Amino acid sequence: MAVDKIPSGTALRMQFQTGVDGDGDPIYRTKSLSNVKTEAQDQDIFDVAQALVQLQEYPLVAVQRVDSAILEEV
Amino acid sequence: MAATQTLQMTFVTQAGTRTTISLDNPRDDLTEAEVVSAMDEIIAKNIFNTSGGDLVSKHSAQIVDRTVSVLYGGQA
Repeated sequence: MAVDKIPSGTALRMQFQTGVDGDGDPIYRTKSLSNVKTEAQDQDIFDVAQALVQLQEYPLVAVQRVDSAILEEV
Repeated sequence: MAATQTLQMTFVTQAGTRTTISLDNPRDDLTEAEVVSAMDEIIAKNIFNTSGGDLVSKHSAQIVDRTVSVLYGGQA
């Protein structure tokens, strides 16, 4: 039985470092924007993340692309 | 008292509805030109899908201040 993979959603997640805790370990905070087109190009998502990062005060740790998909038997 | 700031960028969609992208902790020295430029970039890259379709133009941008005053309880 074959299985089809159907893209169901994409999110842009930006991880920021907002400070350090009492032990000197970094404190992270993430900002997620969920209504990204599944067909969006990686470069375009990255560019939008860069544009947004410049508007706020914390250093960026990572830009993540989170793709979801539904698996269906065909 | 704890104060937080949020930058809210509002766009107009293909259907003429509005949609807002918000970002916490905007820089204190943020200029109008920087926000306008970022909003233009978001429209140009066109990666977002809304119920009203693509984002087609800028509507407005504002910084919202929120202050929380604890009356009882609070941090341990």
